[in-house]
Amino acid sequence: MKTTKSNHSWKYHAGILSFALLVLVAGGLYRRSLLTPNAHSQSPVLEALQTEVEQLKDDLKRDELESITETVLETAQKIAPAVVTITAGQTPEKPAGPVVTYTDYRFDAGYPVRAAVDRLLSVSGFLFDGEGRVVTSARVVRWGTKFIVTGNDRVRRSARLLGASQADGLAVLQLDQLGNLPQPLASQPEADRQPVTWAVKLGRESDGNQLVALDWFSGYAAKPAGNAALSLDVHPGSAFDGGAVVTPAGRVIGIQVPVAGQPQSAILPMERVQAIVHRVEVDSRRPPKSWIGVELQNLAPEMHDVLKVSTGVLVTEVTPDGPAFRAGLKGMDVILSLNETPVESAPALIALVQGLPPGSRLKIGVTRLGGVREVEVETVAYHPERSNQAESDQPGQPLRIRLAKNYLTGSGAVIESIEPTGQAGTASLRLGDIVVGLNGFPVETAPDASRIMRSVPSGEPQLWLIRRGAHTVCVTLKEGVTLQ
Amino acid sequence: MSNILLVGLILLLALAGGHLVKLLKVPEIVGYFFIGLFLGPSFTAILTHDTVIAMEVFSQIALGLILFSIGAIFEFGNLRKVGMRTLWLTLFIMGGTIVTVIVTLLLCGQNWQTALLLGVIATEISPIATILVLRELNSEGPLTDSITNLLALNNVGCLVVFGVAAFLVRLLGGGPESASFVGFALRETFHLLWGLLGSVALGVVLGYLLATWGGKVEEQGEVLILVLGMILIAVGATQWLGLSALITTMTLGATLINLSKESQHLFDVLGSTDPPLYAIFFVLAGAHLKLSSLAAIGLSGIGYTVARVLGKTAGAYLGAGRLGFPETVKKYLGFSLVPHAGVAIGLALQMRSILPAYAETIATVVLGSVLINEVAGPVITKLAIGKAGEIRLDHAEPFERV
Repeated sequence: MKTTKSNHSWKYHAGILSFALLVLVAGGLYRRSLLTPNAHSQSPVLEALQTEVEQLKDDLKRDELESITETVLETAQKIAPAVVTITAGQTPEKPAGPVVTYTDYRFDAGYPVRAAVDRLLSVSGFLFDGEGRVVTSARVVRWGTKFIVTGNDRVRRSARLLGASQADGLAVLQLDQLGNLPQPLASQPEADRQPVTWAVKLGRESDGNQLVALDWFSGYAAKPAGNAALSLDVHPGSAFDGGAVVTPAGRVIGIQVPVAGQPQSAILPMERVQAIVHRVEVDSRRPPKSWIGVELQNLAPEMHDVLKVSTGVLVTEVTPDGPAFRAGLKGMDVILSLNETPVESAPALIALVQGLPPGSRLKIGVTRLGGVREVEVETVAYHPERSNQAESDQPGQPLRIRLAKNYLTGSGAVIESIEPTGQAGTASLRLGDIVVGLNGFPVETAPDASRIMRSVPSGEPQLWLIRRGAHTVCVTLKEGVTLQ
Repeated sequence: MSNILLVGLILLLALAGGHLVKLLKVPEIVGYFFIGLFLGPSFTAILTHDTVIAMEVFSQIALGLILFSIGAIFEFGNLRKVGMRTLWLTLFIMGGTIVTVIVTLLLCGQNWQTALLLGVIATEISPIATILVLRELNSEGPLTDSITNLLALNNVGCLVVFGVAAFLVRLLGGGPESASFVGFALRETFHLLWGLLGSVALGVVLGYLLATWGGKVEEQGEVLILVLGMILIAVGATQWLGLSALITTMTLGATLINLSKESQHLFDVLGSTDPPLYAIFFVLAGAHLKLSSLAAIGLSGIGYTVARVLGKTAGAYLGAGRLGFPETVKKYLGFSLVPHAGVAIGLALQMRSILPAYAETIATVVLGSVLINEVAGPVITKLAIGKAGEIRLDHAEPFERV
């Protein structure tokens, strides 16, 4: 080195330089191995979510986020009075709600330590109208019929269950007293219907603290016309369930509801909430009808071979702890007869059961893959909250279904939206169902489904194989279906 | 407002602010800092959090430049002259600071972990504020020499001790249940060693490169391009590799001064070009802080601020006395080391990711104290140097050349 002022040999400098390079390379490589997460240390679900979140981060328009933050906070303050938390309990003084013990991490010396935490189970909800109706997650139905509703003012109000639609995940409560209520959300002014890219979720925890979250609807555009969108919430017991979903400017879009058997939650559009509240209210004034707790479907000809029957009505779902459940009926059973009279169709069977007074004993002939048995079921009075049917008797219209990639388990395609919304019940398809087969062909991805669909002549019935929670259900769609 | 417009505004307002406070015989960086506070969220909010973040790159470059020039202190000849004595003095001052702050905070009711971590953070001395005051005063003498020699050692020491302290707190505070202890200790040790040795290694490699190349470049403008480019590469590479920019740029300067005969001109060339960067640095530092953090400082914060100064002066007094430093050093060195900022804020914010349990308290105390120190520190340093009689009357005003 020409300019070197020390008298060391070139070997000295080469030595120092190589040592420094060695430290850098070795250290850098080791550091990299520390930073790269172990491939086996994570569940596929977590990984999928992480990918999703990374993707979202890329998509995020940070400037936009910054620009709306203040509006969001204003909105949160404006909406907050109507957002409530709901626990089970008979009187406002005595919350009796189920307590959940879960493993949580508390930070000790900067490190997460696992500990069991007891907490009063609660969901969010919001005051829907001036009549004291509160809409919330249908999870509350499992807790009983009496509830305590606590709002921003920390005043505890008692309420009772008015009704629920399990298919939609929505429950409606009625406050016992109507004094001093904040402005309900149904009466918030309707703003212009811009497509939504950001949504603010507002909830309340059991301790009364307000929860606010901002979601980016990347790829899940919630349409102003009112279909549902899957949200990215991954906690089934999320305190946000039942929370209000509003645009940053404060227009109420809907309510966050759980999707049965799925770790995600969905956003139920306000139009649908309105329809359910209306129906629940009408139902609550009717005299009691008999109920056994099954969801039924007519047998399609294609099912005959699969189920090894030629007549009867298919049981698609059995309400847990309902009379039919206790008698041992299961989904995929086929009801052949009622009180020794052959059953022809689902509406006929429903009419027969509902015509009987509560407490009647029914003899039901059931077959399951060939074997025939007879079970005895005692009907109980119909409670609206137990209803599984959601306006199921509308005439068929072509369904428009949008499928999305299944980020959670990878295979199959998730039903992201169904239009028109009212028909989800008719079609027995639900948001969050995972389509794994179509007309006998396996569906691995959403494009698979579109490909198979194109090969089906329009107007032909389709046989959908659906995974819903732990069950796999076979569904026939007679109506034309358009995949979007 | 466009960022370019803002930079222009920052520079001119800083100049004006610097002149204004000089009328009060206060170092001009305090003026820059006030301009920052004024433009920041506490007052006009012209500099929002976003713009401050966007301009962070200027601050990082400024810090890189100042540490690069501090690195020149590690010239072997100079080191042989002052080496061991300064090292001991540094240990005295650091020890004094750590002990005083820990005891004070324990008395204020903090837990030992918070007290220990804050005690270590308190040893930090803002190199940029201190050096700029010295430059502004054009000071010369034993005190000035001691300060410059000490700054480098002290801040390397601060980073090392902080690494060890954080390691201790994590180890004794209980690691994660499932992870094996050995693996945990190994990883922590690696991070500590990597931060030190890796940074030095990077500085050495880049220093060799700069020395070799620097010998072939003559023209002033080209030298500037070369030095600036290398410092930027050093700062950028440390971010990429998770190293300490402070140690790397300092090592870069140290390697250069020890390798190249003509290296002094590489250092000199920066002197005339960097003042705008420092102005931006201090304005941004002011804009970073909120007056409200002063209100939140609490008893611990006041204890910390006072104990830090006491610890430094006591350590300097005892150390300089024992080691036979001149009387002016013994009396005034501690007071000259009051400025407290950049690295301390960095360490306090770093707590959020490495030890979140203590991060809030530490950030509150440090941010509040830094706010006080950014104003009081340079003033006290100037007074101390003035008392020691090391201000050269014919001192140049670097900014009048801008």
